[in-house]
Amino acid sequence: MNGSDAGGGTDHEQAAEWFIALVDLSEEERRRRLDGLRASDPELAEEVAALLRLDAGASVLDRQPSAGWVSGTASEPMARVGSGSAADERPDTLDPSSAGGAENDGRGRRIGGFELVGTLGRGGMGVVYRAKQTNPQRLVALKLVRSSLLAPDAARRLRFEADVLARLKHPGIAQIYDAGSLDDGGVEVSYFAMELVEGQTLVKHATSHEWSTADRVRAVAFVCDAVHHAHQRGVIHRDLKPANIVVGEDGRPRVLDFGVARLLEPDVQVTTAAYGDAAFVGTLAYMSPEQLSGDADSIDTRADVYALGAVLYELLTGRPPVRVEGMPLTRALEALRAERAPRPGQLAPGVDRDLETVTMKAIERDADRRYDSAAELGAELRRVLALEPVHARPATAAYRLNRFARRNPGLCAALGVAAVAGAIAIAGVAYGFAQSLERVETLEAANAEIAAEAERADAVNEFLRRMLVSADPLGETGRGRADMTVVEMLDRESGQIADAFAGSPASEASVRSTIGNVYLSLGRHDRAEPHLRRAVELHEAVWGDASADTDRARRDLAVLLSETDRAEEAMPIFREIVNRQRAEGRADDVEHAVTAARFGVVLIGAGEYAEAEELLRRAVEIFEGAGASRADALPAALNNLARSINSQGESAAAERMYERARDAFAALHGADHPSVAIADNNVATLKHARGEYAGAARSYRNVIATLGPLMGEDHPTVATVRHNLGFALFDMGDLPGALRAFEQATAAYTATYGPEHPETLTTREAGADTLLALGENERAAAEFGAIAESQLARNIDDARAQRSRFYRGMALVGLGESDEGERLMIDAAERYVELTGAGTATGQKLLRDLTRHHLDRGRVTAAAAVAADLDPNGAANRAVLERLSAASCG
Amino acid sequence: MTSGDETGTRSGDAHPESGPSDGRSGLFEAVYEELREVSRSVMAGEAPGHTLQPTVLVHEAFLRMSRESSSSFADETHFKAVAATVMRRVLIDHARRRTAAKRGGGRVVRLERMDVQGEEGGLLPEELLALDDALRRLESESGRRGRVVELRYFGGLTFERIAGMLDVSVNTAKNDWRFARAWLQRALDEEARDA
Repeated sequence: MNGSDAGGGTDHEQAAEWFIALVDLSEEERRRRLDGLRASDPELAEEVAALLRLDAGASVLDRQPSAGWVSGTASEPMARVGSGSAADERPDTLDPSSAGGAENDGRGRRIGGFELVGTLGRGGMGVVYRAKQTNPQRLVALKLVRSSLLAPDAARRLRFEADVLARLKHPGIAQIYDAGSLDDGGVEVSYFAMELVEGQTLVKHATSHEWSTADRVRAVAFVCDAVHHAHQRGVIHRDLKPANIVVGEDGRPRVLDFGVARLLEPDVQVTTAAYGDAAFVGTLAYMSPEQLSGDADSIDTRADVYALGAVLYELLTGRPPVRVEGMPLTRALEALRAERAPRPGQLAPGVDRDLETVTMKAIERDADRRYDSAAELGAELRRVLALEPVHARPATAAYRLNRFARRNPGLCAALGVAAVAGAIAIAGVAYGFAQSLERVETLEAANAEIAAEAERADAVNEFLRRMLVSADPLGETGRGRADMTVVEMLDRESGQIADAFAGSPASEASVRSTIGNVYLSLGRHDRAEPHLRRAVELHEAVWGDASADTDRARRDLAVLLSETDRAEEAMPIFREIVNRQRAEGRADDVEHAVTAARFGVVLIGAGEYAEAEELLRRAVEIFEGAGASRADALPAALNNLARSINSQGESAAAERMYERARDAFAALHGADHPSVAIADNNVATLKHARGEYAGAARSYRNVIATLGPLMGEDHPTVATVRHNLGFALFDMGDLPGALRAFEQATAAYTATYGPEHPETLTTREAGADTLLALGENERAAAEFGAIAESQLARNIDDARAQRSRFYRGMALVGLGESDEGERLMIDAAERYVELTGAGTATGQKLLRDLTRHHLDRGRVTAAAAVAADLDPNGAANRAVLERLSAASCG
Repeated sequence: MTSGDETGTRSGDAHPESGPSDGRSGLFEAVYEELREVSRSVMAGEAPGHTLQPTVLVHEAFLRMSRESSSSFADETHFKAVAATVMRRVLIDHARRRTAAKRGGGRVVRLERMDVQGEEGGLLPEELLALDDALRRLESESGRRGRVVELRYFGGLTFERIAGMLDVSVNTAKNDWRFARAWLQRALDEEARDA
């Protein structure tokens, strides 16, 4: 939340500042400062004084929000104001030792076949003790976690895993002795016991023992061997970090917490214990991107390779690839996703180039580009030590795009309808933007082209020269060129073309093409069309059906058609051109790329994402290969490629692509350019879809702050980003903030398109939904009513109109007008189902809300009738279906 | 993912099937469903021995939902952040109904039973409504402080998590709370005075 959220003036903020400044001072000091304030602003002083007095007393916030309707259960005390972190934590981080009532460090306590002797440290979910094992007699490191805190079957699996883990025998792995579950005074506790390794963690040891670079590299190579040993036996560590690598007295590193890391730390992303815990956040820095993005089951050995690379990086430079210590969790995750590690050589001068290359390859974000195995990494490191050439090559500009093997459909499918739409819309605009940028250049290019062509054909030369260069080509108006717009000039001259070029169809064809394109780039599609059509005719006549020049003319026409809502006409033309280009081996040409890129956009619009992706990939490859000459076309193509990938559900791959597009826009136009901000929005929508609402909201706000001044606060593009922001805030539970954002977006859309345009209506709907969620029934009822009217008037939005009517009904019920409201709800739901069926998400929601409405009034039969169409497997339906069955049976 | 996922795209795309808040088995919807049901049964007196302390309810709802593997929420902090908003709504709705009942025509019987068993120090429905009004006013002065109060008071989040959620320092969050504590009390005192 930034300062712009403060609705009132600065009085409130001033009072707050003064209050905070004074609240912890002595009585005397306070009085003194207040007296000082009183002299300049008596009102403010009075207010601050009053607030300070209240600070000392009781406040409504000290009491429970609700009178608890309970008999006899003890209440949870509300945490005190200003208390430190420990007391504020929820009881779910109970230390197992406290459950047994033992002393704090558990000394002397017996559990299972172990006697606790001391504490070694605290892990994320449990404590690690030093313990004496009775049978066999030895000292071990014993980690204990309360079983109830684990995933339901983890405790059980632990026993089976223990056998696998015990088979890991390598000097670089802390030997695991045993694992399972024990009873500790009635509480089930999961444990594992392993070799006790006393020493410092890897990075600290390297520092305190002043290890050379070679020492460090050797150590990591050794650890690679150990990790590879485990991989060969089917065990992935998943949580490698410096803290998990301990160097013993003998200078030998050992890896701790193998395999069990996964079992005793339930899916690290959802660890309930360590939220906001700085230590936890720090450990994220060594986690591979695929682990962070949450698809836990697609982790393979390469995740460990990443971690090894990150450890190596830190040993070389003193910091992990992306620094996140001290950050709040959301910011840390954002940083890990967005930031790129600097090359080690930049941080620690004198790092060997090859070593640098190996390190960077190990921490490649794309797992396909990393070393496949820890063994490979180890081998490379040994080559570096032996001064032999390494196999890895530094990343080059020509980047081959591979098919991404990893799929990440889940989240995107579930969330973010409008957020994704925002991306699509913005991406469309971004492309349009790039196009309009291209157009400026096209105009100049057109001039250049005209000049060039003018050199080829005298007649053309003469005509165009007259048009563009002379002050008054036909001597009629007496106005100079400076006073005429290009369009006016064109208008005047283009009528003359037919006569001027009678008998020179080739020249005429060229000129028509050029003029048509100039009109197109100026947005005058109506004027462009006749020229472009004529150009195609002439090209066909002169150069034949199959020539590349004719194809170019056809493509221009197809572009025009696609931009004037005639995509169905455009597509066959595009397809024919592309096919011909392929057939004639011209599929590597820039021409093909341009055609493919434009066709790709049209295909996206038509929902043909896979075909669009294929074409756009090709186009990107070619543009990249063409380097600076087509650098202008590359970013837009990347952006649209990202769209096509995203629309197929591969959000991780799409995000990477959106980021590439963003970087390309920045490289082309500079980081301050609007296209970059728009690209940032696109990346943010994917973060949003992934559930990183705070990070996405922040990005959206930045985009708005950039684009607003540039494009105008009322610009529809800016409005779309506000709309996206509204969703992010809604998803974060900040309803007032969401409402504000939706209202601002609505105002902007209304100013440009009017209140009944589909864009505007979509945002208004979101605002009305938010009003309803806020309990503002009166406003919600009014707004839904107005929206429904507009939607009905449009005649193609009947289904959505019914949804609006339904929620108007619900708002009316909330206002106490139950009869009318209910009638509306029932009628609207029926009509909706008639129109689109009950299987859509909206349909389910309407039925769900109606079911609940009936249940609230005790009408179980009616509720059951409505609920008959609810999907019993739908997650959102579960709660209300449970209630229904309880009511039916009770 | 349906092709109807594009909402409001430009020029000629099909209008979406799902609306803004539909089909987003996103957090708000899921939490809303869960908490409503959990709270409703308690408030209706159908769950003897269960407390209506929001923070406990929220935690219970979280545990319930986390066992349902189909939920797609990101983490506990986020859950609680959304739950705070929902909880506030649920409590206010309930308080409204109760005060309406008192004024005439309603479930007086149930009301009495609940009052008798009321815990020390909890807010009465009227007070809760007054607090909600005051909180809205605070929100209009400072959205951030209002949110801090909401997250803490209704969601039970720690200052660390609040700070992370709102992207401010822990000190800022604590200061916000401390100030809000006094400010809200003052707002209530003024209301009482004016009434």
